[in-house]
Amino acid sequence: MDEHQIEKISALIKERLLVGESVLLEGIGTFSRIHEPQHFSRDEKGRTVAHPPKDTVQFSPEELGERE
Amino acid sequence: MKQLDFIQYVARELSISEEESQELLRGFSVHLNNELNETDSVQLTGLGTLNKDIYGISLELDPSFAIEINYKYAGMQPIIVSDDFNVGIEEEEESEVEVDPDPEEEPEVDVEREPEKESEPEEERESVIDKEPDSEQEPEAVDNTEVEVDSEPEEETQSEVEVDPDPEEEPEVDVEREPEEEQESEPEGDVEREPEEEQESEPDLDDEAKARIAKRTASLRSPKKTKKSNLTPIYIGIGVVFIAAMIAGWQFYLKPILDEPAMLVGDSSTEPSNVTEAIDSDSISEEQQPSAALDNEKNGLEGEASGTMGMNEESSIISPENSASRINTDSVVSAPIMAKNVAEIPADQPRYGLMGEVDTRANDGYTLVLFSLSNRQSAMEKYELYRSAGYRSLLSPVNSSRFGLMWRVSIGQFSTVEQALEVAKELPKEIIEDYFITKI
Repeated sequence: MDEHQIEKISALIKERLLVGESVLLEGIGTFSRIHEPQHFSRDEKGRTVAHPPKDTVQFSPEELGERE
Repeated sequence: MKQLDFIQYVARELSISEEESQELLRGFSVHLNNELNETDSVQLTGLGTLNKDIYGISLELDPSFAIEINYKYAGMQPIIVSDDFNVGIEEEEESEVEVDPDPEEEPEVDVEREPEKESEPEEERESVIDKEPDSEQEPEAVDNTEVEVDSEPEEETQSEVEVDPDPEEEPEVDVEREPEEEQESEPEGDVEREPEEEQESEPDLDDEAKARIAKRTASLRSPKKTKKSNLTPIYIGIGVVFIAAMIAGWQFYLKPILDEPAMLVGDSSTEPSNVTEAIDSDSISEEQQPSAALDNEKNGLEGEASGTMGMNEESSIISPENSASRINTDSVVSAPIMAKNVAEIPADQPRYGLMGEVDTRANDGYTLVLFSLSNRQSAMEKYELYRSAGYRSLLSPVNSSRFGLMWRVSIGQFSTVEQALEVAKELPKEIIEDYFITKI
């Protein structure tokens, strides 16, 4: 498999993730978009700080992929 | 997306058959597995890096993709709620804030206080930038600091005017004094005290020594008095300059704008109400002002709006091209563009609230952001959906240098973050599934 094909598939996975979908690749695992909702914390002065939501991508390897 | 769906998607996007697509993806998986087994790492361009370690395989997201995937939240910053608002988070150990009145510990307090003095304005600036200037707790904190700070000069003044006879307190005062005074005051105290004691106990003190002491004392006191009196004209001068600047600012900048708000947009025929609102409102940031001005350009821009959007008279559409050219800063959140004029709002409607008509006077408050959409039409549909449901629905353009123009749909106008949080808790989950409170 050449670099160009890898780039194309990576770009397509990225596109699906950007629209909020997970991508399952048999034999390797699943790329999932994870959403962290708004949360609160305390700053060093004891004030409550509201943090905006955040999205990230998580990779869950398939059991087969892990065994290999 | 399941494997089969992704196979179809890849086939469609790359214009290949599903069999070819399946083969391609199988090869892709084999390639990833081989690379991971051989090098424990494989790079996926634009996506990130898969790393294999003893814990398994993990994805390290590409930094640019990490930003890209959070485009919806562009421009959102953490905001300070308040000290006493309970949102069910774990309390961390609070740092000592109160100043111990024990004078023996004053040097320690001063050491602690000085960094606070420096950091406090920074915090204030941050909170302004973070769109939460009216946190109730902050002014109190600032007031306390002012009181604490005020107490310092008083102590300094006392220590400067009166020569402290207590030798134990000398070092404390010296910490705050200038080095010159430090050098002078130490011998002074010794010289003064010793002769006085001698005067009382030994009346036969040499006249020459007395005269020398008196002369020395006078010479030490006089410069301090002079120094004190010199400060007053400086303060008066600063005050005069400040007042003059205020008057000049009012006369030459604010007054002409208030008299003729349309001059901001250079078109006297447009409706000036929104601009006036923006100027009158203390809490609307500078970033928002240009956007308010943009509202007045609606006359020339409505023609560019999509014909499918049936907007009422007060609705305005800003073209991405025009607004992008006006706002160059990254992630600039503009004022809502659908707000009604005060005259059109029912008289019994409170200024802030969740339901009703959007009130421009309440644009100094907070709102619950539900969507940030790059598609204007989708944003308009969401806006209309909540508006027809009776909510105060707001549509605000967010201009990000990275993602371009986006449209933020939010509901409600609240005077404080706390009020917005309370209301959000009561809303149905399907509406408020994912929200963020931000300044309007």
